[in-house]
Amino acid sequence: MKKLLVSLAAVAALSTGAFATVNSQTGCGLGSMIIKDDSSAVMLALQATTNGTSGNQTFGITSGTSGCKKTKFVMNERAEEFVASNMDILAKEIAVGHGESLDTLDELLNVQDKVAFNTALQANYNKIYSSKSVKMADVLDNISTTAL
Amino acid sequence: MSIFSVEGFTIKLFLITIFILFSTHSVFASSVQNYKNQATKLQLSKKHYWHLLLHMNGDESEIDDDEFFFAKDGQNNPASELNATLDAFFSNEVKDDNSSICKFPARYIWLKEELKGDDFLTAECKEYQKILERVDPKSTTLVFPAAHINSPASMFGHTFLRINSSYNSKLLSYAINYAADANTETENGVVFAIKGLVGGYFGRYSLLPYYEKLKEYRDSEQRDIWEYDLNLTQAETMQMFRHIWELNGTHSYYYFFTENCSYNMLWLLEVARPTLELRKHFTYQVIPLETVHVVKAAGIVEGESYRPSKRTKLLKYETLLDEQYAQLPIELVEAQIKAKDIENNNSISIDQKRYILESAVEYLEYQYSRGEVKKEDYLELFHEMTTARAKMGIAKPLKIKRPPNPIDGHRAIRTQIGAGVRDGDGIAFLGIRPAYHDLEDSEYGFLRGTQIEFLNLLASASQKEIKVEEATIISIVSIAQRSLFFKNFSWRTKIGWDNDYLTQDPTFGFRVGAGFSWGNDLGFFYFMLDPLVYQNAKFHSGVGGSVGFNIDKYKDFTTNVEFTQRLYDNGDNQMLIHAAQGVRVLQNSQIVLKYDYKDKVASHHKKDEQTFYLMLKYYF
Repeated sequence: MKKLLVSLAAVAALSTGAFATVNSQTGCGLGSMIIKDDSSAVMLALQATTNGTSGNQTFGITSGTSGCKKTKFVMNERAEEFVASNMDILAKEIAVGHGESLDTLDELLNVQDKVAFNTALQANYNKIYSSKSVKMADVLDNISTTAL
Repeated sequence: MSIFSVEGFTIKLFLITIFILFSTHSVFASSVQNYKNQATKLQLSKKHYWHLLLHMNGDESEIDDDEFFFAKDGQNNPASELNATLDAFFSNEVKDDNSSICKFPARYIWLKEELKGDDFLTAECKEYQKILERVDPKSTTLVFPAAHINSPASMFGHTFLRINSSYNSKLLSYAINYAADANTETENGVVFAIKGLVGGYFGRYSLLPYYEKLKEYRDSEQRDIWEYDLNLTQAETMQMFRHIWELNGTHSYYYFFTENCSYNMLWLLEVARPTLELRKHFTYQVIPLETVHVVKAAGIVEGESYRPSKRTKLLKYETLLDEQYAQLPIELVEAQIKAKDIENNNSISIDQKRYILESAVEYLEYQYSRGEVKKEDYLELFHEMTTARAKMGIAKPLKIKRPPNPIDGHRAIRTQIGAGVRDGDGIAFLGIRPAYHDLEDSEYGFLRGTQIEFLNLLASASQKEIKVEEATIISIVSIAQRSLFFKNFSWRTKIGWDNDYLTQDPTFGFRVGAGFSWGNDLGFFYFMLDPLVYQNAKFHSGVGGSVGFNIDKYKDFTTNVEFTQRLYDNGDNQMLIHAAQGVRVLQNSQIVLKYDYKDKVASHHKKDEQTFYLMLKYYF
């Protein structure tokens, strides 16, 4: 009852409108990110009342690479998963030569000399992210052939 | 027939088998009964830890899911639930991942230890082992995504826990999150908000990689991330993880004000270390940032980290780009120029070229995430820009100064007391506000230009009268500064009683306004237009135009000034001026010197009301 009373008091300030859509795009290539159409600032305000779950996140341990093309060269599963879910940020950080996601990839690939490796990746950027439609498998295979 | 014949032998075998089965069953049956007796003797069902595992609040569990309980009355009867749990552990179910032993490892290990259960049955929990290896629990961090400029309600924030592993990289850690299970794409906005407030949704736990949470909060929602490392040991983190596994798939009613995301994280921390008493600090409201304050006050925070949002990074690039090149990143994203043009332009220094391309990529992602750029264009431009940048070598990483930690900002509840002079007479003030922050409160630790107030009450007493000065039900303000990359508009709304109408009495009113704001590191100014309506005996509508500024460069000093001109439906004009100079004395104390000017109408004559006063504000 207490919860209801407290809630009713807050309901007074709400306004109507079409709800902001959150599209969750999954995929193994670039451009797979949550698109938020924030045309309505008020809707964003309302969204905060529940911190709604986007998609069916439960205890999603194995995800990310289902449906993705497999790498040609042997690659550990976590590296594949990580790259598939971080294609854009990795591209950015490889292009710049440093970054946390890049360090994470280095750790997953057991890279010994990170500085040399990251410099080599940057120098070979256009061989790794060879086109706008590269997928996770291509990126890792390209890294395998150029830098590892 | 003789018992030595073949038939006799078969019968004997049959009888022996029955006997063995019966005695094994009785052994189990008597084993369970022994344990139940022992549990009753030790009063295990009354123990604090058992109540924590069941999420007992007094006599009732807060978990609203039949699947979480073995006993029919398990939700209200811890003793019954304990016995039923033991029965389940000793039952003849198949001992695989679907067994009760595998589904409730925290209960199993605790009961086994308390009852010295050497002959407890065991199970093969392959799924659980796989996930345990993957998550690799070593230590725990509390994560707080801070407010987002377009959403003042996000000032209340959100918290979740990160379970750190053996990896150096925190991105590979798993995050445990509690949120309402709502399909935001199909629900109407108002229905969604109401249901979130009154328990119309189920809340569920989710376990997912930290990088996914960063993509959601830092990148898509533009929120700075604050991380608080906790001093939970590996054993405590493991203990918490076992309980998290028990919560897999359960649901409970989600209440925005009380049993929300942050509140449920406190259960997890108490299960990790039962001597912690975190939930008891909260009765009527659980504001996420307040849970962080409580965790810090418990003395378990051993480190703090900051991750700037994409918005913060873009604002940093705005300060690094030469003014003559400031438009180039935008022109690149709008495909008016090509990355090659930047590359081949010899008059631009290498540093500026890097900033132009890097900020262009960030701005491209930002625009794409808002639906302003189509995917095909995004892919084309992203590839072009990153390829060009990769040819420009490695530079030093962006240095972003860490802003004040939200945990060092004032607490949620505010009381204020003060005195002054109104039109020559002495006047005293007393006020209270349960939540949360306004433009006059010290901005230290808060997002600039944001305000959200719930039940702001202020009363005054003078020789003439005692009256209500303010009784705001809700007020929300979002003054977002426009800059190179950000073209936000500002807005605000308020509903409740105030003394800003033409009469001398507090009047009930509602207003909603929009406008624009610009600023720099000294402060910001804004223009707003507010249609409004007041109601006493009749309805009175009008519109107000305001211009105001805030000076907030020096963290402990806040200056607010606002001029408003209103025009009412009966033709009356009204000017309102408000000025305040605040000094932040301590984290939770502020002194404010204020001046108000209000045009009033008394028996058809215009008169003005001027008040000079000093207020002392205290937060807790």
